[in-house]
Amino acid sequence: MSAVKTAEQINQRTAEHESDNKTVFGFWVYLMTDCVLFACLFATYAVLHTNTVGGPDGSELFSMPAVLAETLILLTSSFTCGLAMLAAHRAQKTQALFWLGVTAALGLVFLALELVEFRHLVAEGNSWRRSGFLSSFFTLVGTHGLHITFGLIWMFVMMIRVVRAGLTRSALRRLTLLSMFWHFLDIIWIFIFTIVYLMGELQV
Amino acid sequence: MNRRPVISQHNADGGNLQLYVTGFVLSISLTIAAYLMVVNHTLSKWQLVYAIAVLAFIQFLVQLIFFLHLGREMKPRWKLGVFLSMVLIVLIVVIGSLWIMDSLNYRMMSPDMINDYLTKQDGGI
Amino acid sequence: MPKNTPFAPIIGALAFVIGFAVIWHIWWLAVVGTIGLVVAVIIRATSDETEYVLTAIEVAKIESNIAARSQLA
Repeated sequence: MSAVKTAEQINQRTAEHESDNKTVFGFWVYLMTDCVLFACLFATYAVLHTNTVGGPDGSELFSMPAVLAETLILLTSSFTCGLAMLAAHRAQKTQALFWLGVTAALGLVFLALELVEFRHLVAEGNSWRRSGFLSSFFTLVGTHGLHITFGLIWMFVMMIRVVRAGLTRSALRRLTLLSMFWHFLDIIWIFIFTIVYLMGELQV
Repeated sequence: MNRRPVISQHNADGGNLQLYVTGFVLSISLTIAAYLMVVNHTLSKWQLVYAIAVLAFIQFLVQLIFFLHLGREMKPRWKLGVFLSMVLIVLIVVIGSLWIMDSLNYRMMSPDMINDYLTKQDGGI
Repeated sequence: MPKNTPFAPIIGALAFVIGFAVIWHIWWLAVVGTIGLVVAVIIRATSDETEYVLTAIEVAKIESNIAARSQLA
């Protein structure tokens, strides 16, 4: 491949670069709308969280150590996702894959802990049908968990892609979007951790 | 199709290791601080509520700035603009919903509930 | 410009199927729909050739053709 670039190649590069920027921005706008979605679920939880119909409230149901573990795990996975992106931008394929794998593993542990918590609640009869509080709890935290699940599927697909086709321009763009998504999910979890679990423990 | 690994022409990531480590350490500290305060009940209930709300807000900003690189772009700052629009919409929706639901709660009381409400006010009637 | 693709209406249709199935508690259909949706999204996402370039010169040509035809009519 000649080192001298034709005008067409330079134009192509600029077009691709601008197109990628637009895609990243478009995804950012989507993330903003997702924030509005979660805000609505939070508002619903705020209105309904005292409607326990004589049943247990948050302080009786939530296990604080488990919640702390989930929070620290998700936070670490957000950090390792950042490390993966740094490696990807330096074209270090193995490093990027390694950190991406760590992120996915941590994400899986988080999801497993959350599913165990849900299972325990439902088994004791405290499902979403029990009270308004539990309905709004399961909807809010469940929607977050669903986002995590899709993020994990996306992560696995991206890891397979990078293994097979390497860190191409489009792979870098897709990894950028994925990392934005993953950081956003941890930010939402800060609010779930504080408003649902910590304030639930305080019986607010 | 270009299959050779590409070193991005610009640091599109907008960050470096230092940023991520700082953000990570700050976030962990804020999380553990909030957790310990609640679990050990170091303040009164409502002081704790305000404290953890502030800690959460700070961690929100930390993660936005250190992980999502908000505010680092050059003008025109489209990302920041869209973000602020979202914040406005969220404030309207959340504060509006809470205000309306609280107002409904107040106006739709049964006689029993009215009695409870009145007797709760400093010894009541 | 994005190329034409069948995946857009397919993904939309699968989303409809999922919604319908969950409302009417047809769980097998909901599962089938979700798996189909995920697979469709992954197939679409693995394709890199999703755009084509439409230069300003071509646009000018198309526009002048339309103008010429409407003047003849």
